[in-house]
Amino acid sequence: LRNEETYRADPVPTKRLRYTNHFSFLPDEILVYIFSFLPHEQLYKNVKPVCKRWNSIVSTPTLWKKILADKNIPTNILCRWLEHSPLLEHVCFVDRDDMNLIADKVGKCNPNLKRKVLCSLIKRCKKLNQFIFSQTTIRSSKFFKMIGSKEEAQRKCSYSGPISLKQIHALVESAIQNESYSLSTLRSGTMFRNSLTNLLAQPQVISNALMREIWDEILNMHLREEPALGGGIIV
Amino acid sequence: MPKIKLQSSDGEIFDVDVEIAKCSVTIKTMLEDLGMDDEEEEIVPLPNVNSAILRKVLQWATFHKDDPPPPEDDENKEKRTDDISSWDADFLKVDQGTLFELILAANYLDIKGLLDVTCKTVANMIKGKAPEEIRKTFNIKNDFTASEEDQVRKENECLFDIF
Repeated sequence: LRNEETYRADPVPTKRLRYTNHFSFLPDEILVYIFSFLPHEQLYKNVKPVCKRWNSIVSTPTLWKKILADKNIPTNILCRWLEHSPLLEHVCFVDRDDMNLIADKVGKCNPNLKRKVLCSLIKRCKKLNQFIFSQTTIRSSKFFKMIGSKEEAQRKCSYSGPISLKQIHALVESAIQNESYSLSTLRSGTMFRNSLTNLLAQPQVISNALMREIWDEILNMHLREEPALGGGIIV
Repeated sequence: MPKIKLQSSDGEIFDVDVEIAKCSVTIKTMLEDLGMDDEEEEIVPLPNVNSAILRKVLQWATFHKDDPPPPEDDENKEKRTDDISSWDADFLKVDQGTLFELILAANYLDIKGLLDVTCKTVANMIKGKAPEEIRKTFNIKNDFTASEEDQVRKENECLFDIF
């Protein structure tokens, strides 16, 4: 919060004119801090229009690291918030029925999502049945483990972006432990098929050597009954 | 208890318990960095804080010297502004100029508790007010041109008509 330039050596008089805008003595960082105590709805509706300086400070990305929205926040506003939140770390959406759209926005707008955001987003959104992450880097393995689990099997997920071997292991292991999956259900199950084939259908992000490892891994899991896992994988 | 001398911007010297002065991270770091030890009774100059404000800050620090560290924020909730203690609320019944100088002093001295409670107080003065009321409360000039204001208003109207 400190900004050395703001504090000049000459003493600040205690008594000031009665009609003074005291905010003009505060550096932007402190305004950001004060605004951080206000709900986003208020920032947008009442703070932004006050003056040019406030208008620009409201857009400071650090004020939008965490977004909370219940059903009273309209979809278009929430989407706009998400679009302008490059530092988003935490979301909490309660009682909303527009989550397909929202999750899509979250996935598109934020290139570096953290595990906690994704997992809490998906767990909290009971009605969320399709989520699409594109142009996104997900660095978490736990996320992949979660989307492979039974609870999430009814959902459709697609993700395009770089993926590590560890993440693929997490996904496959989690899906295998789920007893309702056999290879054929894996192939026909929308969640797994979409996620796995989408993941693996991207030669530009996954090297052939990595593909071979994935393939070996799948074979090791005694899934040889069926000849192939669909057209997505070419070793 | 060991004492330390703090000098305000207008030259007044305050004799303060070291433990109380150290609630300011700035002073604490200064003492550690400069290796000022307690016996020497050095004078620490604070060129950005005048005596009236320093007196208030020390009053606050003395009252809060035994406070436990504040609890972590709940990530799923908005930050609270309704948790200002009654002592603090009374303490901050001051004119706007003093309140804002306390914010600057708390920021400069790096006293999180005081910065939080003063910023919350200002946030509470903003909360629930329409833009024009906010401008009035703080004597802020509306510096948007007519067309810019129109644009901001239109944007808001189209976004918030569902509220």
